[in-house]
Amino acid sequence: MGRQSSTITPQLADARAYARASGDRNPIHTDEDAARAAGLPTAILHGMWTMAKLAQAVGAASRCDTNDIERLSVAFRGYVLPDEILTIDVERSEGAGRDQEFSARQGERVVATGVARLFQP
Amino acid sequence: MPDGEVTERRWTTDFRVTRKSIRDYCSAVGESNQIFTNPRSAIAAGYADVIAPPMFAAVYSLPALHLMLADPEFARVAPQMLHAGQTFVWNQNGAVVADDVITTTASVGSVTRRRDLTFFKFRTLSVRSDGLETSRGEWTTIVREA
Repeated sequence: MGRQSSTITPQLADARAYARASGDRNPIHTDEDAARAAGLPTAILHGMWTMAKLAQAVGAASRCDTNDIERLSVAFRGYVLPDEILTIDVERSEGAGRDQEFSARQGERVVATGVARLFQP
Repeated sequence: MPDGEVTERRWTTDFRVTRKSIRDYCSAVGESNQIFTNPRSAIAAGYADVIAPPMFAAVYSLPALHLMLADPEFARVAPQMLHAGQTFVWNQNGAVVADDVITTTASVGSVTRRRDLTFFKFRTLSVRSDGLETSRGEWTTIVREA
């Protein structure tokens, strides 16, 4: 096993761009006041945006791309905040293993965990 | 809906994929593979046009989920739903190409209650206009009773 880590600092602009591109226009992702009214500290990134970044991290760790992923399963464990570093760790299987576990955190706060399965080569 | 009992109903929508919708999505999530954005690269890779990244499934299947959640059966609790988990499974031969129309059918997999929490598992099945499956999704949401 080997671990590959990558980081990204999401921005509120990412959430707004994702809302426009995806059709998921829940204002908790784009409007800070609406997010606070819903009990959140500020607007948060979409879970599906985070999942897309997880897919990319799995692809990079596997030296392939997202098209090589057969199955991706994610548990959203916390919200992803803008302007905080998001660290994604992918545990690479050695040899022919097709399952790759991953997690994402902001600081010490785990925000997502999951597993990806790659297509048979 | 009582615990463990799920409706057999289905909610179906069509989504026309365009070069622009793929390009906007790639820009939003930072997908840089040229087969998603450059028709010449996609054609060189054997596709008729640019293809969508796998996670674009979250876009073309969302309208069916939204249609289901707008149904009176779920409309009361939908605003309280937290997206707790997501799984997608893709068909290796089911690439989504620009100008495809993807038909997605949403259904209820299970509804379970544990103390003050209700867990909903929704399912989506998406197919191209030629009938080939592109992806399946399982969407887990949680509602905490007030």
